[in-house]
Amino acid sequence: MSIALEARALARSFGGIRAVRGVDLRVDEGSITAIIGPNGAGKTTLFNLLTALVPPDAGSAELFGERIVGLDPAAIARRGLVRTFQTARVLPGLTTLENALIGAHRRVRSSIGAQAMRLGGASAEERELAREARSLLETVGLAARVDDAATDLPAGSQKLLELVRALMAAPRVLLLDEPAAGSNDAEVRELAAVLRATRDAGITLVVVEHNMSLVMDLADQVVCLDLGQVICAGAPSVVQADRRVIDAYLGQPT
Amino acid sequence: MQQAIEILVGGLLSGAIYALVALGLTLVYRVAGILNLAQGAFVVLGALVFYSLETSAGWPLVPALVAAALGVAAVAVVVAVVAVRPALGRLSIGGILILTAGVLTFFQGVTLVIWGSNPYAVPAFSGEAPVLILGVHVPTQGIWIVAALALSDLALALVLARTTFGKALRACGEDPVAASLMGIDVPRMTVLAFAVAAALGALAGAIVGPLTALAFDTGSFFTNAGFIAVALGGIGSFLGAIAGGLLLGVSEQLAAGYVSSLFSPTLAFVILLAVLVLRPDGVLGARVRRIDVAQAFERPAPVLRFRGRGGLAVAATIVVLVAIAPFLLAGTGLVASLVIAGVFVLSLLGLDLLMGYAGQVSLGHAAFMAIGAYATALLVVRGGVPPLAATAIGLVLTLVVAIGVSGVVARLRGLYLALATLAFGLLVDSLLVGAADQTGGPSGLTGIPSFSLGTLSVDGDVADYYLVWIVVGVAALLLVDLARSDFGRALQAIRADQTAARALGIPVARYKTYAFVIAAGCASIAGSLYAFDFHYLAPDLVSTPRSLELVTMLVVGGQGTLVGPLMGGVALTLLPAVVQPLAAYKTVVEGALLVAVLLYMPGGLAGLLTWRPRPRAAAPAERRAT
Ligand SMILES: Nc1ncnc2c1ncn2[C@@H]1O[C@H](COP(=O)(O)OP(=O)(O)OP(=O)(O)O)[C@@H](O)[C@H]1O
Ligand SMILES: [Mg+2]
Repeated sequence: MSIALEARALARSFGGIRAVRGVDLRVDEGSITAIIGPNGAGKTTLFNLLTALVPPDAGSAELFGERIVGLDPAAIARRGLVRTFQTARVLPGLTTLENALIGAHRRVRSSIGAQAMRLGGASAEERELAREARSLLETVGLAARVDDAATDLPAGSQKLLELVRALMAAPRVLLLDEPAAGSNDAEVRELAAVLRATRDAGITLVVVEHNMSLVMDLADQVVCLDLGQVICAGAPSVVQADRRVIDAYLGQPT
Repeated sequence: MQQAIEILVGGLLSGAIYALVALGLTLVYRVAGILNLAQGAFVVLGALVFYSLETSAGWPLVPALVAAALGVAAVAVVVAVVAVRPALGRLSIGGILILTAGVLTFFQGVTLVIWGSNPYAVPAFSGEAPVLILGVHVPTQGIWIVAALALSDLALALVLARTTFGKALRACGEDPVAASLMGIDVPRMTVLAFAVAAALGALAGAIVGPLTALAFDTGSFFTNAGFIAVALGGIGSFLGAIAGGLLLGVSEQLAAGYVSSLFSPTLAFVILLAVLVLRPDGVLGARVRRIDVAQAFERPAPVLRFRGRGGLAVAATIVVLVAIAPFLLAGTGLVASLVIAGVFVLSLLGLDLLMGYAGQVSLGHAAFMAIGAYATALLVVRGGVPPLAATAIGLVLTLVVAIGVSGVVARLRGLYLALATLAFGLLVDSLLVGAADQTGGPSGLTGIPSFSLGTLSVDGDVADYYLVWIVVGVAALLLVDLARSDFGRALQAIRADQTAARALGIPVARYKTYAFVIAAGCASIAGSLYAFDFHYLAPDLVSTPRSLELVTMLVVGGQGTLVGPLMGGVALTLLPAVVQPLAAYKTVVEGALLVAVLLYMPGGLAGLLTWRPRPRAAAPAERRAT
């Protein structure tokens, strides 16, 4: 099994706050890695570093062996590292369907000229992507709202839409920032099914998540961050039992 | 030496006026994060009110001066309350910039209606004879100018440092969100800032009156000068505004004195563009960083879509109407207006892709029409090049310029991008006027033949009509397909959220360039057709006022639909032709319409046609259908 994503000694400070200080991460291809940790541990910042939305102060990152630190965010996404945001960033001014379709940007093969003239299979490609987007939207229960303004969806649906948008990119590695936040138990189970299907389709997943039952249920590997550092990493059962993890969550000094 | 010193003095005097205008701009920017393009209108309004009071009504000097300043401040309060305050939190930064351009247009129209189109010469306050200071001739009016600048600086500094207004104002400037949390009423402060800025502007206008000829359209001149001064000094800095104003005045006079008065504005715009791009903090590096109110409170854009067959029905109706219009309107003289409308629609289609889809405000779109039009016309008239080839060469030239410009401005966002396009437009304007030997200068270029292909010549209104509208049709087909494909969605993503767009793999800068270049291409072809139809070109036809008119048409028609350009272009071109009495009020109406539509009809005319989803609470069952 090859390594899909690897970070070495990634670090980033904001003023005096050392949000991420020397994080190492190894994600095997086709696995699900959960990243846990208390509020402010640096989980989102780690995602921001990996996707170049925030440049690191130090450290390196590789996607399937290719160095990605120093690339711009769009270039990283085009290489197949795609993410969602902690607070869903659906695009205002676009419908639900269009929001899903834009995820497929990195897969579109037709040139701009072909798109303008509907030549060279541009129409067929567009139809095929739309079909795919509709069916994904249906699996997350958004079929009835494909033509609504995406920003009119309730917050939970926006998170699902963002997940669909990311899936439309056919990512090689997918980073999800708290996908289950704000969902009830039934919704969490549904989400778990979608994530498992995603993994089974060969997509490597890295999930920041606070919902422990979801984490324990899904993850092949759990990484616990606290104060910007990895305090524990390993199989779910190992991390769950680790004293340092429990202390970090209870806010006690380790 | 003597000459140099007198040039310097002249430069400092006009610079002092620019500084006063710039101070007003800065004040408003500090409070609301808005660059108020209407500031120049307040200058002219102040000058003309003062003229009427003093010269026509015989008021004494000082009361007339005070009354003019207060009167204009009162007008500004009305503007701020009616137009600007409601825009805070409703429009983007670019939207508000366009809104203030609408206010400028409106007041230029009002001034035209009240004071007519002739320039006014205001008599000097203390006689026309210059005084000799240290062997240098200084116009007595200059002493007034210096005194006015010094006094207003002092007053402003005191107000800022000592009063609660000043403190509140500084708080707004640092962080409007925090300021409003602290109980400072940001909208009210905005109104106050408008009033003070307008009073400053009016004062500047009244005092500079004797040194320049003032006319209804001088307002944009002062806005431009103030805006260059602000950009030079660093947007948001009071000291920078003063220094920038003086710097601009001096360099302008030096250029006029030693190079050529025709090209002195060109120099100013070159400097401006260079500063905006290379040193966006101003040459003094004094830009005040701030979170913009408009950005902090911006509401999401409405979604306007034609649903399935609805779109087809609209398209079919349009095609039929366009095809039979010349028969319906035969003999009314409106066909000629529709040809011009078609030219604008073509130009607007490109602008819509750029503004409506990619969200990039361009206030210099007509400059690309100008490049296409002049290149084509000159090639045909002077070079005997066949029309189609000339149009193609004009297009290539425009595309090259557009790629260059977009490369230069690509790093700029929001306000700065809009201002850079404005500066570019003004630069092209000044070149057209300056290169009079080639372009015919202000009096224009005549003798442009009709479009022809081989021996087939497109003569007469009806032939012109079909030529123009067929081109419009082809462009519309291509652009509609483009807008409804991945490319169009990517542009909309950029408009909506650049960070999210990047995270999805969209190369933001490159796509902005594409949109910019496509828009310029549409404008260029429109410009060429304009020249063939009109047989005449003048800078006025394709200069910055036209850019603002195009933006007005787009906003009134509705952005981001590609139907809006059609509706806005046709409506605003035909309106004055159909309703003759309106012709005199054209500018007033356009300005007012722009403001009203921006505020109360965000979808424009096209919004009336399109389906708009109603926000509704989703039933839980619906959210989880599976
Ligand atoms: N852009 C930024 N500017 C300043 N500080 C930041 C920035 N981004 C993150 N931080 C700080 O870095 C630290 C880590 O934040 P981060 O959002 O990565 O935590 P997190 O683990 O995702 O927390 P949560 O569970 O609340 O989402 C916090 O103290 C946060 O305030
Ligand atoms: Mg987080």
